[in-house]
Amino acid sequence: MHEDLITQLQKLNALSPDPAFIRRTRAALVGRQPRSVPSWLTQPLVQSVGAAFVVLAAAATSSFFASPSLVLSSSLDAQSIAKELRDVVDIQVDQIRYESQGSAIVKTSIQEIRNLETGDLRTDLLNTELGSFAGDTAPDPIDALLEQITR
Amino acid sequence: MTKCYSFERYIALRNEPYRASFHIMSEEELISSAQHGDARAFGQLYDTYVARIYRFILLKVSNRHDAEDLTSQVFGSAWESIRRFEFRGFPFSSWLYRIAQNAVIDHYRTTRHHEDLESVPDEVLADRPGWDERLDRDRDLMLVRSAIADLSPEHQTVLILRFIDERSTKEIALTIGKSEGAVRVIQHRALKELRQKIDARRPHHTTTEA
Repeated sequence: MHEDLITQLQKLNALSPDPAFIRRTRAALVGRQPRSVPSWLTQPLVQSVGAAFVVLAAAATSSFFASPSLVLSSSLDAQSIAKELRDVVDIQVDQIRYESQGSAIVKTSIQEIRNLETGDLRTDLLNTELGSFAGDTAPDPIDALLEQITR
Repeated sequence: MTKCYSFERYIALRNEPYRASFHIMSEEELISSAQHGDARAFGQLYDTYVARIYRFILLKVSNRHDAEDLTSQVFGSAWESIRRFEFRGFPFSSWLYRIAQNAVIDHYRTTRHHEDLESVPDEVLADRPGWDERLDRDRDLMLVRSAIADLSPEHQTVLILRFIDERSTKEIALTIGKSEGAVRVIQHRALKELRQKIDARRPHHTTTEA
């Protein structure tokens, strides 16, 4: 049906680029390396470097915990721990001693305050004073003489 | 005890280096070498495909200078990204054609200029380098070329690949991302449309045929 047309199309296969253009472009392409990724940066290399980094990180982590640093090792020394414990106990004892002395002083102060300020409110003292007033109820001779004069 | 070689074995061993130096690399080997940065291997791939890609682009853009620029761009892009090419049933040529197709689309998108071959005088058209003189004298071929430039990009691609570059239906299907059945349908429609456009361009075609 379209044989004549297809024959015409096939003749267009004779179209070809200018040889000078082919040479020029070829020289430009062959003369440069791809810029996107360096030629040595291949996928296996990237994978190898990644694996090596993971192994190094794991080794560094394990070695850190296997051999603790100077600070960590000194803090784990038995003598140092015992000294620290003794110091803590001494501090606790000093604290107790100070507080016991302090409580005696406070107790004495409270006693003094009670005697000075609230002593007049004590029942026994009030009764004693009332008894002393009762002893004074006998008639005074001066009062008797004054009463005779006024009569 | 001395070793005894046959004469054939001696000749084979003697010629081994020469045979190695004249080993012709397959396309897969060339691509693999190019992917490892071998520019000479890519140069051989360029030699194989440059004419096809240039022709494919020229028939779409209808301008020799644009076709040369775009062909250079296509091979430049292919060289830059050849490491991303993978053998998954895709021929290398279909990969190049796809790059070329995208380059032509970008070209029209950015320049927004389409040269209408109908408006170009025949003398100018015939003077274009790359156009064989015998073809210049063939007015029918000029009409065909002009009509191709007026087709849709998909029809252009199928006709160029199928009848000018003589690619298989399967390869065209891989290139344009459609099934082989769809390619056959597009091919049929494209031929029909091409004939209509040629007939419409033919001056006084009703009288000449008579």
